[in-house]
Formats: sequence, structure tokens, C-alpha cells
Amino acid sequence: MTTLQSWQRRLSGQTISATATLAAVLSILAAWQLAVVVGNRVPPVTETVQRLGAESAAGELWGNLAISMNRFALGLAAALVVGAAIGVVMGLSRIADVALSDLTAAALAIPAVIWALLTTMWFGFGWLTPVVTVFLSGLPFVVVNIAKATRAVPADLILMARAFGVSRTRVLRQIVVPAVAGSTVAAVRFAIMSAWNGLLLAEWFGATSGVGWRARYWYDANQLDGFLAWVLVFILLLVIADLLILGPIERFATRWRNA
Amino acid sequence: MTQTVAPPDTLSEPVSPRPRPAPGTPLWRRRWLVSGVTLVLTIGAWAAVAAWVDDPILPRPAGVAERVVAIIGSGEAFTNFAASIAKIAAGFAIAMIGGLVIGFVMGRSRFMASYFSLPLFVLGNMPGLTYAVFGLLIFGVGAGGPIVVSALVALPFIAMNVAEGVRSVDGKLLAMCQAFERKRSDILRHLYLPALTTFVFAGVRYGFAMAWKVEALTEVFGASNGVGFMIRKAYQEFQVDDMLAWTALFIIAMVLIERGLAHLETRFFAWRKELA
Repeated sequence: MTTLQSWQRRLSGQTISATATLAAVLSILAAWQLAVVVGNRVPPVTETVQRLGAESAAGELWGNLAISMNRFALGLAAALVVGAAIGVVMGLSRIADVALSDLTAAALAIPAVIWALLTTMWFGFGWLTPVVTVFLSGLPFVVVNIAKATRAVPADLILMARAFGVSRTRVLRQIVVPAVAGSTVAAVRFAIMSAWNGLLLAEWFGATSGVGWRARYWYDANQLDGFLAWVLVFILLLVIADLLILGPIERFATRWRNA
Repeated sequence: MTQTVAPPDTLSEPVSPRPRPAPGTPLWRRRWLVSGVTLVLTIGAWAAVAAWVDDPILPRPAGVAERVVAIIGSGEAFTNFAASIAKIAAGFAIAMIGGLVIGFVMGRSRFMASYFSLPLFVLGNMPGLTYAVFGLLIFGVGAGGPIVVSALVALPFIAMNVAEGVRSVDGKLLAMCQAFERKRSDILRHLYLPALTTFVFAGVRYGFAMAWKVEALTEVFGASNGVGFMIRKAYQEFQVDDMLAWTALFIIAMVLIERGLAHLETRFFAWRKELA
């Protein structure tokens, strides 16, 4: 009985949120339509979606996405590895923390566009420009959050576990991983958001392929429906990455907090 | 990894939040020393790489410092930062009004909370590039684009924090207010306002960092003054030292404003600690 009730309540909650999300999507579309009517330069929804279909048919959509994802993955992986190393050192040693905290604060304050412009001037129109920009714009977020994760490891619990002769794998699984998981997922999440922004800018200024370049191509051609079609792709990727992949992972990683 | 996790000084941290000063030297001096040494090392490494590359594409630190002094001396720094900050302030005023309304509604109704969560998520996470291009396309190179863009970027942070603050208001106090038939304005002033201010402040701090970056980006794409416009100008003239000088000024200004806001926050909410 109680399970049925709670199940019913959850279902009704889900219906409410589903209706609300549907209403939100409809409102966004309505706002877009309003922008089409009021602003004379904004292309309508149908035209944009058609253009997206045309991009896909011309083979530009998946090819450019694959190229960009390749660069993105390379830069992000480098940022995660280097950032995790620096972050763990900062979390463990107070001197390293004091020494590097001003630098990370400065690095967090640098907008991605600076990196995009600098790397364009340094490396020209090659693959290095977007990869280095992705690396540099993601790195500080990884460092800060991994340092936080390292500090969150409960030292007294580990000492106690060791005193009671708990095996190392169990300590790792049941004390370290739960404590570290939340901040680690946050590190990945913020790094992805910031690095994606950097990738788009780097490709906009200094690339001859990729999603950012393609968006600029339509912008330069003064075809706003093409640009808007790519913006739709960016937003969809973002929603998929965050709401459907990272969000559930985060909820899973931090589930012990509510339990 | 578990072996090295518990050195004695991190162990004592949760017990005594204030770090023990080392014998002899006060901690603040050591802190400055360590931080300064890293800064000097970093600039030294930069100088070494610049000397090795030996190309105007990577200017020496001394050259950039000269440009910084020249930019400040010519008054360009002041006028452009003032222009940028004025745009952000105008945008923030709009975001504050919108964020208060949306956040209040979200805090009171579950339907509204789920209704606004998707649009706010999209607004808060849209790549800066799209904001910049739309700002330029719709508003041209005037001040309108950066103002609206910084308002849109800051709005979700303020709204989310206001919603959190409204949810934190004690329901029993609210019921008591109704039982004693307090006026609406009284409830707003004495119940919601104190609860909201801390949350709004947190939202402002976070929103500011985001808004300023996107605002500068919008100015890079199209503006007639401001920090981003100067960076764009340096880029187009291929003056890397000018670009780095403006970047340095940007970082310094941002860190200073952040510290200032943090300081204000501790000053404003000092009374809270007495209550707690």
C-alpha cells in the first residue's frame, strides 16, 4: 500500500514535471516565433530545421561533428589528466595549494576567447589551435574541483578503517570513492562546459573544419538559418551531455548523501 | 593513494579550521612569500620561453608590463573598463529584476520550478559564442548587445539562488505571520528579505564572473568601446603584447572585483555569525 502510494505520488510528480517541460519547450518555440515576427532578421523554426536537414544531406553535419569531437576529446583528456595531477597535489600539500591558488584564480578569470585568439596567432589554422584551447579552457576547472575532491577524503575515517584492519580495496571503494565522486563529476562537468565553449571559439577564429567553422561559414555568408541550425545542434549536444549523461551519473555518484 | 592521504597537517584541518602559525614567521607572511615565489617562477618561465622563441608572437613579460603601464597612463584602461562595467551593471540590474520575479515564482510553486528549469538551463549553459553573435546580429555594435547578453547570462544564476532562498524560508514562521495577520509588505521585508540577501549575493558573485566573460566576448565580436573591443583591435593589428596587456588588466580587474565582493559579503553578513 505504501509503496503503491509513493509510486503514485512519484508518477504524478513526473506528470507535473513532464507537463511543465512540455510547456517550457512550447514557450521557447513561441518566443522564437515572436522573435521572428518582431525582429526581421531571425529565421523561422521550420526553415532552420530544414537547413539542418540540408546540412545533414550534404554530409557536412556528421563530418564536422566527428572532426570537432575528435579535437574536443583529445584536449579534454589532456586537461583531465594534467588537471587531476595538479589538483591532487594541491589537495594534499598546503604549500602547493597556497602556491598555485593565485595562479588558478587568474586562470579561471581568463575568458576562453583570449586562448582562442592567442592559439590562432601561435599555431595558425591547424588541429593544434582547437586542441590547445580546449585543454587550456578546461584545465583550471579540473584543478579546482579535483583539489576539492582530494580535500574531501575523510582522513580520520581512513585512519580508523586502517586501525580496524579493513582491506585497502574496501577502504578505496567505501570511503574514498564516495567522498571523491561528487567533486570529480563536477570537475568533468565544468570542464566539458568550459572546454566546449573554447572549442567553438577556437574553430570560429582559427580552423577550416569543425562545427565552429561551419557556423562561421553560414554567418559570413549572412545566412542566419544556417547559423541557427548549428546553434540548435550545440544546444542539443549540451542537453544530451548534461541532462541525459552527466546528470544521472552525478545523481548516482552522490546518492549516499540523501540515503 | 590512501597511504599518502593523511599527512598530519591535513588531518588537523577539520578539528581546528584556523591553521596553526609556524614558529617564528607569521603565516600570512609565508603565504605571501610562497605565492610570490610561484608568481616569479611563472613569469621567469614565460620570459625564458619568450627569449627562446624570440618572436613578437610571444612577447617578453617586460614588454607586456610596459604596455600595461602605457595603457593605464594613457587613460584608455580607465575609459574602456568604465564602459564595460557600466554595460555589465545595466545588464545586472535587468537580470536582478527578472531573476527576483522568476526565482520567487520558482520557490513558491513546484510546477513553475520545473517549467523554468529547462529555459534557465539553456540560458546558463549556452556557449558564449552564440550569445555574442546574437547580440551583434540583433543589436548591432552599440551598447544594447552587451547589456542584454550580460543580463541573459546572469539571470539563471540569480533566479536559481533566489528560488533556493525562498525555499529556505521557514514555513512555520510564514504560518505564524498569517495567524497574526501580518501585512504582506511586513512578511516580505522581515521574512523574505533577510533570507534572500545571502542567496542573492552568492548568485551575484557567480553570475558576475560568467557575465563578464561573455560580455567581453560580445565586445570582441562587435562593439565600439570596452575591454573586449580593445582585445579585438589588438588581435586585428596582430599586437600580441597589447592583447596580453589587456588580458592582464582584465584578470587583475576581475580578481579585484571578486575579492571586493567577497569582502562585502563577509561585512554584510557578519551579523549572521552572531546568530549562528
